[in-house]
Amino acid sequence: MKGTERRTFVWRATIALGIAMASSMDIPAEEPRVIARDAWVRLPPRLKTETALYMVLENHSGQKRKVVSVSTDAAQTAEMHEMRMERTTMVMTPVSEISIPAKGKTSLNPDRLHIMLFGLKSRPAVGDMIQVTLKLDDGSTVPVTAIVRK
Amino acid sequence: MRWILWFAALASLSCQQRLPVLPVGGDFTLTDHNNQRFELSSLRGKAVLILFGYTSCPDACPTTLSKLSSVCRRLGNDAKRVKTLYISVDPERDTPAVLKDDLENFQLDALGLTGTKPEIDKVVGQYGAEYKIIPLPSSAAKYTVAHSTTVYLLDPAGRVRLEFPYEATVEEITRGVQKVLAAGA
Repeated sequence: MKGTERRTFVWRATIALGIAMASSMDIPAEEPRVIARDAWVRLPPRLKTETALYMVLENHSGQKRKVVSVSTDAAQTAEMHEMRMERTTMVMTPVSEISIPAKGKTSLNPDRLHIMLFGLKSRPAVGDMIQVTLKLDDGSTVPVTAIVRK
Repeated sequence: MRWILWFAALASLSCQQRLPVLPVGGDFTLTDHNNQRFELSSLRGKAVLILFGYTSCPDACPTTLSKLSSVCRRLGNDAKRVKTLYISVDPERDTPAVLKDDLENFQLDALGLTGTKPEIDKVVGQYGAEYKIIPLPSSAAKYTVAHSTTVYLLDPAGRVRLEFPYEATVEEITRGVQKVLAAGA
């Protein structure tokens, strides 16, 4: 092996070794920037095929994020809704997004925001888990597992 | 002087215990969740809690019904002297069967009530409540019902003695019911 060929070989071997080491290194996965906690679904009455889903959304990033859509295999449609009080009257309306402040959290609870599941494909029982996926404004998704309770 | 102060304190305490009769309410007839005609006057001798709502309500109605279930647990034996009436303002969706099914999720001695729209409107007007059907063409819900969240407490003579706002706590409602039961008719 001539000098030039040897140098080329060593150089190629070094690159190959570097690639192999980099791919085998245990690089920690990126922390999820938005996570859902304490998700639960209200047990619907037997004759109803709709129910509400609640959770706490935590945003660990330095950017404000928005949930822009919700999808699930458990129901035909999932919508984001807001309840607000006008004097003593409760008014519920669909909303197109739910904001989560940077380094903050947003609670979806029976007093304000919630996700409505319409057209449940099967009747859930207390203790069942329902999977939904939230899509954020940056294109990322947040998987949510919600427990059914009364 | 001391006697005057004592008398004033006693009078004040007495006033606190005597609840005014509120200028709303009155008897009515609707259909209950067993598909039987129901008259409010049939509950004379009991304290009655009345709320207006609808079974597709995801938040306010189940929250209030859960709260009233807790009130009845706190009342213990006195709960037998209390009846809850859940009056639907969504007669199109809330049939007697749907109302009955909905109330089975709550441990509460309650009757779901419905009727024709004129019948419901009359009762809503009597109690100074309000509701409005709001179309939601882009939602699977199709429409929502904005409605009053006040809970009305009637004494055993059928008179409204207290109105509780949505924010009222279990303790506050329990105390009100106890006061009404203690005062009798």
